[in-house]
Formats: sequence, structure tokens, C-alpha cells
Amino acid sequence: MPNVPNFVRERLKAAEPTAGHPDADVLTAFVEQSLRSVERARVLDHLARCADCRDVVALALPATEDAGAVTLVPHRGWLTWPTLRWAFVAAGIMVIASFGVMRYRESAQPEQLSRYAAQKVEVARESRASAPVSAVARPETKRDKALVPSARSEADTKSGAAVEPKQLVDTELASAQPATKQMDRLSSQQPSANDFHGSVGGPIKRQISNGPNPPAQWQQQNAQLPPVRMIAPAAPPAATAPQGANAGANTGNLSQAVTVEVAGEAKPVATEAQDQNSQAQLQSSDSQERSAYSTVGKAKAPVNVETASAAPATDAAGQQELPRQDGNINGRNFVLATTPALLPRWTISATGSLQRSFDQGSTWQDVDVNANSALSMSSLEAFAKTSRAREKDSNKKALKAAVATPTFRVVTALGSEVWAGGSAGALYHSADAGSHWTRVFPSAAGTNLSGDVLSLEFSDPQHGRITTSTPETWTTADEGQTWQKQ
Amino acid sequence: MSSTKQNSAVQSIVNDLLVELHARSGCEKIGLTRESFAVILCEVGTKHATATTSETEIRSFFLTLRVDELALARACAGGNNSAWEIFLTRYREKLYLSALRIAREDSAARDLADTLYADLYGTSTRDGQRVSKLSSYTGRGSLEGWLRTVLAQEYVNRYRRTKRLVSLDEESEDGVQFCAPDPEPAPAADTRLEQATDEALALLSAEDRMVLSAYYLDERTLAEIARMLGVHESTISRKLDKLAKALRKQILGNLVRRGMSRRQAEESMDVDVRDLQVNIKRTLTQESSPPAFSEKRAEARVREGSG
Repeated sequence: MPNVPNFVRERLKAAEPTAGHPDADVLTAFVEQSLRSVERARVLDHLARCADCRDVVALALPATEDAGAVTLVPHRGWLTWPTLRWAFVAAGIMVIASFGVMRYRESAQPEQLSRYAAQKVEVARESRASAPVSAVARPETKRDKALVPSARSEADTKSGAAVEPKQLVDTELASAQPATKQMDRLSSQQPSANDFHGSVGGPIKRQISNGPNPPAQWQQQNAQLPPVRMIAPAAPPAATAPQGANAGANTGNLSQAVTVEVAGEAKPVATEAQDQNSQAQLQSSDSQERSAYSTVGKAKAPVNVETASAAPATDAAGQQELPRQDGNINGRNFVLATTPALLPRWTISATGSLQRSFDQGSTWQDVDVNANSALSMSSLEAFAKTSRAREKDSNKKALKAAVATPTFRVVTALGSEVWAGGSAGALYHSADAGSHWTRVFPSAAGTNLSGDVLSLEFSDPQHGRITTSTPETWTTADEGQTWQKQ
Repeated sequence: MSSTKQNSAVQSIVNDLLVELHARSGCEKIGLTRESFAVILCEVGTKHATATTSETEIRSFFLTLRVDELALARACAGGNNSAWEIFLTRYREKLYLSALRIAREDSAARDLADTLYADLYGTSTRDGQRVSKLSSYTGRGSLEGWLRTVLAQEYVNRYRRTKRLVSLDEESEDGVQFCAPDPEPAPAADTRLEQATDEALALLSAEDRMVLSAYYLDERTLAEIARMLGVHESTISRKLDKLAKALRKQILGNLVRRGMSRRQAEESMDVDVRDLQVNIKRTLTQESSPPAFSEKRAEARVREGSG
């Protein structure tokens, strides 16, 4: 503190009090800050001169503990720097924390989204499988033999969904043998009969095996189901899939997968009795599986099941000859495992080729829909046979032509469900974000979708609408299993 | 002294506000009638009001009075037992604690508190009437604060008496002239210095001077002074800084105006015989352990503390 010259002190001391000492009341009021300004100035002047009164004031100050009653230090309020300083620090911390939380959520969300999408896909498949059960029954009569395999395959998937599939299966069993033979033929001709879509009311699961020996396969499946079942409960129980049909369909899907695993087997066709047994087994095991899968989580379950089923399939079946489309089939299972985490973006290039990007559009890769195409000549033929006889050949040709990479015009994707449409009625569908494709042939009332696909709208995996250049409008409500022409 | 006009003004205001004030005072509980209370209010009002006090000021004065404590104090002064009971319950403990804080020593504090209590109760009589110190309480400050102030006054008076004695002894021993308050006739420079200083000091506000006195004369801490004035410690610190600089500048200017050259003025400010003396003394007292001067002061303090 600065010092004043002592002569100043002397002069200060020399000052004499002007008036008499203020009484106790006034001094008290001074200490308690309740004097008016004029009076306060007067008291201050006296205090400046009178050391005794200064002493009295100093002594009469309240103890610092109870300074609340006589607050000599004015209340600083909230906006003083010390308080603000900490307020700023706290605000900064909160901002950083909220950023961190948001980033974490963002990174977690795509995973969840894709998982959810995969789940929806499963649900869609299940519903699709169950929905056209009745449809299956109807066209059963009209259907050619060639369709039986598909129907049967469908039955594979839908087994356990309802009584109908059972009936259907039984019905089909009657034609099991010829069908089996047919399937043998089919399998010999073309490795993969999977993903045969668009048959008339014939909802064929994509994962339908190449054809050979569904009953035997089912037997295989049965053997494999227990392991699958064991795994399923281990998966997160977040089951949103509706019970019953969907579960059954889900089961069916998985048995499809399982089927796929053993698809390539060229096992001798089981006898009818065997078939029946296997059917019965299938039913029961499917129902078991259904209950298991009713608690299955979304993407995880299929993954677990599929990968798990791959192993037991290998063990149980013994001859684990993978179908000729080996890598693809296996790959599909594993792709399904990875799909939830990686959803690409889709586009059509200027030259009409389908492209996808896994890095939000930085780089694009061409997608060859035929590389993993499940399209087989047999299915082509089967499809062709749905048309009127006179169109058969032309359609067949058209279809064959279309087997070559089509020129795409439009693509739409819902999670890992991708639909791509192009010229000459080319319509492809992938359920695994483009790793495997199925050619879809919308067909209704004996007519097929023709013309260039100009627009694809899928509000959800089940419901879609196609507009063509003909112009035609086709809609589906079951993820492309059946189509209606508007 | 307030005029009759003021008295009547006060009276009318009291009449106006009586209902409200009476309600707040809680007179009934302590046996004070409304009329008595009105008389008390008038007395307080007239004591405070000067000739220049406006009616609004009187009105606001009454409204800020602590009428409840005023009523209690006056009822006690009148000897009302129920009032005394309340007073003792509320204030006896606090009285003793304040005395302890002031006297800083138990026996002195007890002595102080008992003396005051007797004064408050009105052990002495005048014209047959009990004379209680509580009669002088007017409700401007809190009763508790008033009690503290009275205690402090009592304490300072005692100390003042003792101090006077001691300081005389000290001064005679130190060789300083006995009746020393007036400065010695000094060379012209000194006179001019004094005058310049007085002028400079006179320009300061009362608060500034009070702060200077409290800090340089009483050697109080910044915190103490801040509490006395109801401001923050840093305010006092800044004020003192500014004052010291401004004072020096002002005195310098005054000296120059009185005919000194600048150099002369600076010299006279920095070099003062009395300053030298005091400086040496100060230096000596700081360097060595308790010299005679401080010893005497300390002794005096102890003496009056036990007295």
C-alpha cells in the first residue's frame, strides 16, 4: 500500500470533530447502511475526524459469521466473474459431452439401422412366405409340373407356417417323385435354382435350393435344426417378428439357408415314405424352430444360425458338397452376416450399369447382377411356361437375352433390400445389399412384365410399385413374390 | 431543534400512519397502549426531523423505523415485565457475546455486559422515574446493533480514559511536548506544506478522509475499513492507491502555487524534519523487537483491557 507523507498524517490527526458525537442509534444505522446520504455524509465527516467514533464503529460491527443481518459486503450477484468462470467451464464440458454422445449415437445408428433393416427383411420374407400360402394352393391346380419344385421349395420355407403348407406339402408329396425327378433334372441343368421369383403366385424363396432332394434336404435340415435351435435363444431376444407364420417363415428362411448349405448334394432321392417322415419331422422341427425363432433377435439370429448351421450341416450331412454355386451360397450366408453393418449407396451410371458405393459416394463399383444371379435356365423355362404357349419362345428368348447384363434405368434400396429395374422388363432384387441378385419376373394373369422399367417405388420391403414404358404399372405387396398389374 | 410547525407535521403523519405502524409493532403483546406508542413515535420523529426535513422524508423515516423493536425497547424502559422477558430471551445471550468480541477477554466482557444490562434495566432513577438507556433507542437501526454500539461506546470510553493517561506518560517520556496537537511554528516551508496539505485534504470527500484516517492513523486493515463502509475490500485498496497519488499531486501543486519551485516543493515533501524523526523511529521499531514505544502501547492495552 502506498504511504502518504507523515505531514499528511499530522494534518489528518489535527482535524477536530465539527459537531458532537453521533448517538448510538445513528452509528448503528450507519453500520447497518440505513442512513440517508446526507446524514451518512455528515457521519462520515465526523468519523474522518473522530478516532473514538471510528473505534466505536469498528467494534460495533457484527461478527463476520452473522454478516447476513448487517451485510457490509454487498451481494455480488451471479454475474461476477468467479461464478461466471465456472459456469463457462461447466458449459464447455457439457457441450463436449453432448458432442461425444451424438457422435457415438451416430456411429451406432447405422449399425442399428442396418440391423433393423435386415430384421425387416426377415419379417418381410416371413410374411411373404405365409401370405401366398393360399395363393399357392390356388394355382396349384393350374400349375405345371415344373412349378412343383418351386411350390415345394416354397413349402420348404413356409412349412410350419400354417396348416395349409402342410396340406400343400402333402399335396406335393403326391408329386414328390416326379417333382424330385424334375428337380434332379433342374439341378443337373442349372446349379442354382435359388431366388426364383415371380412365378405366378409362386412365391419362391430366394434361398430355395437348387432343387435336388428337398425331402432329403429337409431331413438334413431336421438334423441341423437342433443346433440351430440351441443357438437361437442365445441371440438377443428382441423379437419383433410376429409369431406364428412369420416365425415359421423365418424358420423357413433358415432352413433355406441350411438347405443351401447342403444344396449341392446329389443324394439319391428319398422314397416317399422317407419324404413323409421328413415332412413330418420338418413340421415338428419347424414348429420347434419357430418357437425358437420367435425369440430370435434380428440380424444376429440369422447370422448365428446360418453360420452355425453351416457347421452342423457339414457334420451331420456328411457329404457336404456345396452346390455348384458354392462361394455364392456360402458367401451369401456370410454376407448376410456382414450386411447389417455395411449398407452401400446405389446409383445407375450414365451407361446404364448398376453401381454401389460403400463409402458414401466417394467411390463406386459396378455391380453385376448376373455374377451371383440365382437365375437359372430351368427357372427361366419354368417362367416361360407360365406364359401362353405362343409367347413361350419369344419370352424365352427375351428372358435369355435379359440374362445378359441389362441396361438399368432405376434402382431403389431399403436397407439391404435392393431393387433394380432396366430395359426390357429387367427387374432384379437383392436382399443382401447387392451381393446376390435374383431376377424377378412379375407376372400376373398370364402376362409378364414387359417394357422398360422406368420407376421403382418401395415404401417398405413388401410393398412396391413398378412403372414401365409400355406403360404398365405393377404392384406387389409381398416383397415381389406376387405381382399385380394395375 | 425542530420548529413547532415540524412538530405538528410529525404529529399528523404519525396519526396517519399510526394504524399501520401499530399493527407492525405488536404493542399489545408487550402491554404498550396505542396512545403511548403514538407519543413515542412523535418523540422519535421530532428528534430526527430538522427544519429542512420534508414531509415525504418524515413519512419515509417513519416507514423505515423498526417499530416492533422500538416498542419492545420502550416497554422495557417503562418496566413492563412481559417485555423484559422477551428482551432477555432474545438479547441477553447476544449481549454477552458481543461484549466478549469487543473486550476480547472474558472477565472484561462480563463486566461490560453487566454494566450495560444495569443501564438498560434502569437501576438509576431520576425524579422518581426509572432511567433506562433503552429510552434512547429510536428504532433507526436494529436493537441488536444498537446494543453492540452501546457496548462499544462504553468500552471506548473506558479505553479512552485509560488511553489518555497512557499517552500523556508516553509523550512525556519521549520528550515530545505535552500539549502537542498543534504543530510547532515551523519555517515557512512547513507552514506552506501544512496549508497545502490542509487544502488538499479539504478537497477530499468525507468518506475518503475517513478511509485515510482509518488506514493511516488507526492502522486498520483494509478488510475492517471495508466492513465499516459496507464495500468490498478491493474497493478500499483501490481508493487508497488513488488517494495517495492524488494527494501528493495536489499538495505539490498547492506548494508551487504558494511560490515554491517544483524542486523545492518535492524536497519539502520528501524531507521533513519531523518526518525524519518519525521515519527513524518507525525504522527502529520495525527492525528491532519491541522497543520502548510499542511496549508502552502494549502495556496500556493490557491495562485497559483488564480495567
